[in-house]
Amino acid sequence: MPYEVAIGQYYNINSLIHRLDPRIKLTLLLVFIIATFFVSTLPGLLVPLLFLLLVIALSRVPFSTVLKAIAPISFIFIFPLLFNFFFISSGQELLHWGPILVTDEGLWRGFFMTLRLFLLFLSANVLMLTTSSIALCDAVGSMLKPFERFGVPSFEISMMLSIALRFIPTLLEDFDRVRKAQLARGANLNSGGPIARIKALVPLLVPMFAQSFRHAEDLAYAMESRCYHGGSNRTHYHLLKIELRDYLAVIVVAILLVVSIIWL
Amino acid sequence: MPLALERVSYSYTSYDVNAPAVRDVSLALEDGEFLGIIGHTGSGKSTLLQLMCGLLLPTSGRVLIDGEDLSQNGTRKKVHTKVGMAFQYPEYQLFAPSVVEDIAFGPRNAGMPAAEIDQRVQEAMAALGLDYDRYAWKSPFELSGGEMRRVALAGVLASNPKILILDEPTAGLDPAGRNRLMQTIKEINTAGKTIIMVSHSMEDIANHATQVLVLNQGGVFSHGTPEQVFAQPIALRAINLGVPQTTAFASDLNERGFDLPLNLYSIDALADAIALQLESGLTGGDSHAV
Repeated sequence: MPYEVAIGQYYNINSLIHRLDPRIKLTLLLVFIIATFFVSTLPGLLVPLLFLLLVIALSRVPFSTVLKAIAPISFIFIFPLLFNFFFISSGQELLHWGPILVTDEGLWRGFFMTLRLFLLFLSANVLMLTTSSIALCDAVGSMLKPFERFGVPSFEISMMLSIALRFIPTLLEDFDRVRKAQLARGANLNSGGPIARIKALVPLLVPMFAQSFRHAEDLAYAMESRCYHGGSNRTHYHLLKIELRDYLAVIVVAILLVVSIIWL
Repeated sequence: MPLALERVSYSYTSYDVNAPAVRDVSLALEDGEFLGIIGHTGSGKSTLLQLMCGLLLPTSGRVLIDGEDLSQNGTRKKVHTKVGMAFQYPEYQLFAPSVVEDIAFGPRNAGMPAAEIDQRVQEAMAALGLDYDRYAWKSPFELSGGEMRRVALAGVLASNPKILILDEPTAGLDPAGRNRLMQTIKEINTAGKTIIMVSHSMEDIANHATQVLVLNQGGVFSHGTPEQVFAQPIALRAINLGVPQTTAFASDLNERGFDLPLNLYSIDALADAIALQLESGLTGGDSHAV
């Protein structure tokens, strides 16, 4: 049975944004988020918003796809709105209903915080859509490399990351199998008090652990039999290279940061 | 009638209603029968098995256990005491600290009283050839692969279902292990349980099944006795399935002038038949050329 899992929602097309170096993208995402936190006015947030929309357009990922990925957690955006609607008491009163007080300043701040949160999630999402998990692992491995002199095992960390990601679909399949096998023996996974439900997890978790160890052992044998012995002086099949487009991206985001700090 | 399927179909999503995983399957089993299911990978076998034990509900059609429709509320409660299902590599479902506790999982879920649970566990272990004194309190993870498999199968049997569904029970076992397990399954069948078995071994199917169901891309390709189903080796080969080795060999010989029956499933019987034809000179050609 084919098990379709979209890991990190990677949207596999070839666009300018997709082709950017993943390390650059990761770093620029961070800078972008910092920039939005320097913006202090609501209209000011329109600048990073427009920038992000431009990036989405350049990435050639359909806007509906981008939004659909955020949809599941969109309830989060309610919180800053509510918080600022009801707890800011300065500014001109707009609505007074019992204990609930809405002021114009509360309204502005509410929308401001929400928009900023929205930009945060949207930009992270764009990164996930345009960068494959392999590329992300390579990026992390490469960026950790300078820390090797301090004892950080950058290559092992990177390998662990990519192995973990690679096994997500496999473990999901295993879980489905174990769940069905125990259901077929009458396991009751859905009812009972909290204690009963936790106990009901044992027939699921123990086989999952055992299976994980089996996978790990098999993989270790497979890697060793192909002469893998760890270490950071392994060469890579895919080399990460900074190109002109990466320099341009850095310049653009740097400008955005400066503008955010000084003007917005 | 312990099990009946009436025009059962199943689609995994609403998108592939026109290419369902299982399409329009009907069959009926009497007590003590042995149904063999064969089909290429992806032909819907696993889905069909899950429909038969209530893990999946059909998108159309009915699955009847002892005449009761499985999709009615309440019939699926304790269905594991009527239909037991062993997945491929069932040893991967073992979890308990000891063999008896794992085997007792099914009976315990069915709410059987303690004395009955003990009895069922002992019976199941005996049926699968597991010596109680030797295995009862061992950890399942200490056992060999073959032993773990038997423990897992005992766990399915312990709920005392009258129908036992086995998905490739001998997968991954060495030839001796396969033979021993098939012998055990045969004994369980003879003792009265209805068996449904998916297998890629045409020999096992031919030697044990009373009915054979051939699935191709979700639909029924052929359904009948082993003799009926294996009488068309060329058609089966065209859908990536084989026939018992003896049948294939006899079929090849028949293309060269022999006239051998295709329903001989043991090597000795086939050898005798070939000898008979050679002696009476029925080949119509040079018998040395064969």
